Amino acid sequence: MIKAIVEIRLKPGVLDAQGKAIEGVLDQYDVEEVEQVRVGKLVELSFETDKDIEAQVETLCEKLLVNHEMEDYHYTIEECGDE
Amino acid sequence: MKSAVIVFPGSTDDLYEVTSEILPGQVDRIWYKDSNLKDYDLIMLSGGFSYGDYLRAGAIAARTEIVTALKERAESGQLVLGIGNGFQILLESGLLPGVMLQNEGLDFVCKNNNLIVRNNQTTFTCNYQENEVITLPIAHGSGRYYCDKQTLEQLQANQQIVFSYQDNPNGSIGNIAGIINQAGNVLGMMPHPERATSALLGSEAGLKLFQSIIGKWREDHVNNS
Repeated sequence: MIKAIVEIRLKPGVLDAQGKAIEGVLDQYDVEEVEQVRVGKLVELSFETDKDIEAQVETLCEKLLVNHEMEDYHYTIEECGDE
Repeated sequence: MKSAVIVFPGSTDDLYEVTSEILPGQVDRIWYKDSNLKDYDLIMLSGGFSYGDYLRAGAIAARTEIVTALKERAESGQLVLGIGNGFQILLESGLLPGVMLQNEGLDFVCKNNNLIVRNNQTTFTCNYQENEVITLPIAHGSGRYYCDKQTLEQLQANQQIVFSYQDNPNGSIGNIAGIINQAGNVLGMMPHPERATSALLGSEAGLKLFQSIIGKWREDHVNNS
């Protein structure tokens, strides 16, 4: 089986309210060096075929999964054994 | 006058209930699996959480066949009104520019909020005064309107910002609460005028929006005959 792992992030400059909220509690964990937290999404697409995976992933990202006015995406393709 | 409210899984029904009382003529409730939208003077998208707000608010509803049909109707000049989640669907479908993000404070905001009517020269707002301050209920978790600088400048230059918040409850860019397309036939707004149509329910400030639409329709259809 082939899997595409799509990571979707808010574009730099778009305020990430969730990230800000997480930043607000970081001082409880003695990790003061963290400058910024940004929260994104991960979408896993499993394919039954190995044909044109990249084109299919890109079509889905362009037309459905990603809103380009506020988000960027990046994907990797993994081959994995049957689950 | 013939109107329609499109209903998705997760839509709320207030808009249909209220408009069937206050709009003249028939109001149809159209399930999203139908795509017959031809003969309506006004097509509305109601509030709620279509598809559970999954992926992004309004994103999945915006990609259904009925919204493709709605886009055709909007391009041919029919009036389209999207409220709350309906506004989010209009943004995701590309009928209006920009996107909707989670509220700045992360909270779901549910309260009465003061708005300023920035443009009273539209079919939807001609019964209001310019810069009139009105109080309408808001109820949303993702109401932070966002667009790039260039789009914001265009919205401002073309008077497309119809409603702005007096006290910004969600971090919207430019205090934007509602915008209209350039052609002037598609309005999206986060506040709920349909929940403010009777003094018994606390406010009737939303009534003028529907009366504006009715007045314009009568001008075009009744007075000419």
